Amino acid sequence: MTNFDDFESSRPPETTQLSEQDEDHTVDTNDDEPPVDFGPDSIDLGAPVPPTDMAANDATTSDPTEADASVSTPEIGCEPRRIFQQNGCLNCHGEQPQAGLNLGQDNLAQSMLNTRSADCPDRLLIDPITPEYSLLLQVVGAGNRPEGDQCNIVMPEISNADKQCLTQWINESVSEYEPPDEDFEITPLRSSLQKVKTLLRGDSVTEAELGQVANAPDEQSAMRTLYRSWSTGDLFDSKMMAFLKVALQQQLQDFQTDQFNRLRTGRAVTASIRRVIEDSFVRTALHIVNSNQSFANVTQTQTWMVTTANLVLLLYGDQSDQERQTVHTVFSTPNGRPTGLRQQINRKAWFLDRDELGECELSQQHLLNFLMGAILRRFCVNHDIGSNVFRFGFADMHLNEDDFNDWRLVTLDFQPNADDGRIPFYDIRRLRTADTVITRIPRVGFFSTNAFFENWLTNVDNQFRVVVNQALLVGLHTKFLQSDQTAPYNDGQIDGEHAEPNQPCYGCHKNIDPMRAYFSKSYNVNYQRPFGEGDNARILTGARPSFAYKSVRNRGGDLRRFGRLLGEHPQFASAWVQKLCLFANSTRCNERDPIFRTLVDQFRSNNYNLKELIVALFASPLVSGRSETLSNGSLPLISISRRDHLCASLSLRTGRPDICSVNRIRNIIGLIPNDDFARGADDFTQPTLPNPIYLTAADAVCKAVANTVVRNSDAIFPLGEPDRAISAMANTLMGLVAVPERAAEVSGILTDHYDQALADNATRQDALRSTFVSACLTPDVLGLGL
Amino acid sequence: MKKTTQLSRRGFIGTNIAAGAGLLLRSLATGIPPALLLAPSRATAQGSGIRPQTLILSVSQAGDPVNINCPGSYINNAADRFQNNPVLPVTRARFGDQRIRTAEPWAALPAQLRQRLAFFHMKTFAAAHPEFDETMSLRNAVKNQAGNGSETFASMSAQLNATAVGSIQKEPIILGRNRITYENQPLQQTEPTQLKALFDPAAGTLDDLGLLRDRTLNRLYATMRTDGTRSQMAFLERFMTGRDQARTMGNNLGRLLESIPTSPDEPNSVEDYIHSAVALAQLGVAPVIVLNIPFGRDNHQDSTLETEAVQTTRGINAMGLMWQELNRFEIQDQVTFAMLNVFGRKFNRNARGGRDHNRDHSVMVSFGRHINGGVYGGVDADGKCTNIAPNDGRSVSSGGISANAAMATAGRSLAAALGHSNRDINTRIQGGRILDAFINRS
Repeated sequence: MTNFDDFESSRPPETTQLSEQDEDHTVDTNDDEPPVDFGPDSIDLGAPVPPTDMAANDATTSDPTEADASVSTPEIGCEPRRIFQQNGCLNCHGEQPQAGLNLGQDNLAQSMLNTRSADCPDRLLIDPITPEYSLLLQVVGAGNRPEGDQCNIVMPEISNADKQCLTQWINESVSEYEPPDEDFEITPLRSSLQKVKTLLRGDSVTEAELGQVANAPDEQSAMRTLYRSWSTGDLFDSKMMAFLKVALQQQLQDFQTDQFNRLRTGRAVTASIRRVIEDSFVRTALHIVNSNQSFANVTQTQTWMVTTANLVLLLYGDQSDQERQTVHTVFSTPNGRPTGLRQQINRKAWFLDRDELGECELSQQHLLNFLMGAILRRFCVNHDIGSNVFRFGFADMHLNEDDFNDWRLVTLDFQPNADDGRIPFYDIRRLRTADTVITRIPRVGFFSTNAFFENWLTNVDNQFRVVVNQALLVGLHTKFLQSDQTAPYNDGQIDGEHAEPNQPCYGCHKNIDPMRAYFSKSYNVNYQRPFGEGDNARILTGARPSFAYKSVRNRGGDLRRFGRLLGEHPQFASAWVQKLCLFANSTRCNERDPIFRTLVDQFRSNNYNLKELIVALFASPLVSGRSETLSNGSLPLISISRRDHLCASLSLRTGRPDICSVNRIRNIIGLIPNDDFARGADDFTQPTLPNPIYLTAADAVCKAVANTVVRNSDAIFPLGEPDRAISAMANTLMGLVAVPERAAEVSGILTDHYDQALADNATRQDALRSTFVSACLTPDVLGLGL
Repeated sequence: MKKTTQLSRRGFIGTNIAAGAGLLLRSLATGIPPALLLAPSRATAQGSGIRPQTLILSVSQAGDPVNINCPGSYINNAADRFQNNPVLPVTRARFGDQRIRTAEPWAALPAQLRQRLAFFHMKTFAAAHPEFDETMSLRNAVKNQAGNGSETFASMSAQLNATAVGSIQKEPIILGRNRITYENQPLQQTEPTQLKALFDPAAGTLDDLGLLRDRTLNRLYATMRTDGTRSQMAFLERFMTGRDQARTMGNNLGRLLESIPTSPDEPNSVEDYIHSAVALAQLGVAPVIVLNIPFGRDNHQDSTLETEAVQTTRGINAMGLMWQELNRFEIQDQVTFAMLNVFGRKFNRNARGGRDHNRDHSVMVSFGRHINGGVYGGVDADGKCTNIAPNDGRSVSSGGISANAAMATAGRSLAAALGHSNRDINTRIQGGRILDAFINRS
């Protein structure tokens, strides 16, 4: 019997000479396919990329540009696959299914019916309701473009006869389609209001608020007034920060710290560093929102909300090679050396009141670790350090806890070659009072933050492609697509080794590669100012950056130009309407929806005032569900309450700020999913289903919350006043204060529970806590949109 | 004799008598997990001799170099630039009925495992990490239940097998940060240590009031049913179903996760993922369990290929651990494993000595009761996937199943080995064909 504890107990394999013929795997190498000829390249003149001449590759293909002299009836028994084959469509959309589309597959009609396009998710390949708007027809010039459509996929045109054939085939395919027989159901007003209040604040809708809207002559206008009142204050700020942290991709998914030459700090300091890195640009964006600035400033602003610790981290990467070699000393015994901060900084001699340290000498490159509470033992002599890294906390650090909390606006003045006027990263004293600092690497917008760089590490192979891609996903909520017709500039920036013109990869690389230079101009692959050799050096030397994306073309400049192009791009407005749709609904809005388009136009004309957009969008049927739209159809999505929303609600409704930080809850709250983002994805990752893991976690969270709040001393759920506590469970915790009838019914049920628990010999404490848990586990608490 | 699954008293009390008491009593009496008792159909074939399988699926957005050192990747007449890992010794070993050259760690796996361990050579057409979603749907070859659109393979398999395997929930479970969708909705991601923390003993005795809370919750839910919209009712139904599923899961999962973390210095190690996945499979929590087993990651700059060698060895050992654990719970014939990476890596090393992305060659590693071990397809001297002989799955230079259809063929064949019917496979996966040589129908 095989001993599964010891893999070596298997029969020992025989070893052989490598040259021994392996008769099972003889292969012939002559299996290369001929390259596809895309015809002459005229993009040097800025002309659009010509349509692919598919006819050159297939001897049986008839000339696709041949125009029929007259309109004739389609060939009897026209078969779409024949059309696709003859027109060369299968070269790209056959066994090598670009954009996931295989036009040679079986059950073609069925596979494309009601199927969303990968590149244009608001369009259907075959639209059963309005077949004339089928994308399959539009791209070959046989169909119409619906109003509001932004899809710009263009394929080589086909003959009129073939167009008619395809049209006929699609009409036949959809002729027996029966749409789901579901009438639109209006969302109850209270559900709409509670959903938005949860999104903007976290507490319950009151009777007065419900009446304010219900009794108003213009419901939507009344909603806007109400939502405007909800869009101020600390609660709103917290919600906005949670949204912006995900939308701007500032939430740390990784923390390698290559841009800081690897931090080795202790747990508490690391947590503080992560917090200030994550929060800095989020607070910046929140400031932009709250001060009614153009939200497009998030792509361009050089005035950030920072702490002193942020400034230290941001300026660290500015160093030249020579500066990095500068020697600093650290001493634990003054021996007459000054210990005042100014003198320590000026002399580059740092005092640390820890006897075991001895004397240390370290290069400026390693000074950041020291300022953050860590020093490598190997830099020290006459020490008594027991481990490789000597760590110390805020009590001993030169940076104190205040330096991680002194948020203020500071202008980061980019001067790439500045020498005079700079404040070194270690000059804590001056940084604590600075309102402007000179930076030698650009800090311009969300895509140049420490957090963004931590999330999107690059290397000498990736060459900033990942950060370019993510910047566009954040700013414009779209991906690089092969179908993008925007002609790139031919400045030699398209990496031929990565993607040759005859390869499928070229379609995206032609647009993304030239943008690498916006970043390579200022950063090495560790997102520091380039210096020295190897990974520290500049890559793509001499490369001229250019931007060619979805009809916008521009050449030259630096990262500031890149940011401006993002902020001024026509796609920027719809991107942020869409992101707010996702935030509100956990699903996309249809961008063809007239309401969506109106909101986009208003956002633009309103100088990109995000707060006004939030008010308008949330009051619109796209979020309220109070009338039918293209987006919500007949069954709008209702979601679980994800972590940020759940914690905010529980904190507010229990009167315990930050309740999710309580020990027991903190250990399990991670099992409540949060909004998240992923590499290469435009939409957020937003689990919506109440699965067993979520519900088991919610059960544990509710029990932990009950144990925390249901106490004698609690103001809302006092142990000694069960009636009052139960009433609060129904009205406050479950948010039923605006529906007194249901609140009364629920209170009755909860009271029955309490009484029965006592009858079952539970203690008063356990009985009331169990009652709380019951209330907490209802969809009123755990759902969003009910 | 089957090992028994001892339900804790707490786990028993935490269940709804009205819904599942009989089931639980049977489970206590027989020692068979409740999920297995709910799935008598697992024991019956779907007319094909194949027992429906739970799938453990390893995925990777990093594009690990699994394809570089596995059976079928050592070829004759390779150019100098074609380099398998120089650190890993090469040997021959038997996989299924084939004796094949491979990196030594593969050969060290138990013979019984190697009998059913297959290496399906294919191409994913993906060259960039963000194409991960496309690869998970086999380049959109996998269709939704209506036979159109696209869906991940994990989602499809979960839909088709959830009832047959009697899993507690329909949706896949995701371990780790792997973005997999179910019916195009993102799924929750969990870590093994988080799962374990869920079952730490709670303070107080609130668990003793669990049944009372169940009755109260039913009454509270009823107050919502009177005037809700269809979407609200759908959510409520889903919510209640989820609650029932959570009760059925009970505290057994916590007991099975007691060994986690296997190394305190490395919580959520690959070994922790293996233990968690097997525990979830043993309890029949989900029809598909997704995790990630590293095999070298995105090794552009692995200049000496040491990382590739170390992680390949560890990854193979992890598969061996999985096999060991499956056997420990005696579910090795009910669980199939497969690995699907966004793309493979190039055999030609780049200027820094590492490996770049390879859209033209990848390998789906798999093992299961209904999989015949061995190599299917192959790689040519340019590091590209070859065609496949349809009768026996050999690598051929021309004819047969084209390299472009290899991934769909791999998907169809795996689907068949999981117990999905031909009709479902034809509806759900476009392109390719079932490779009969891959399937063990005995």
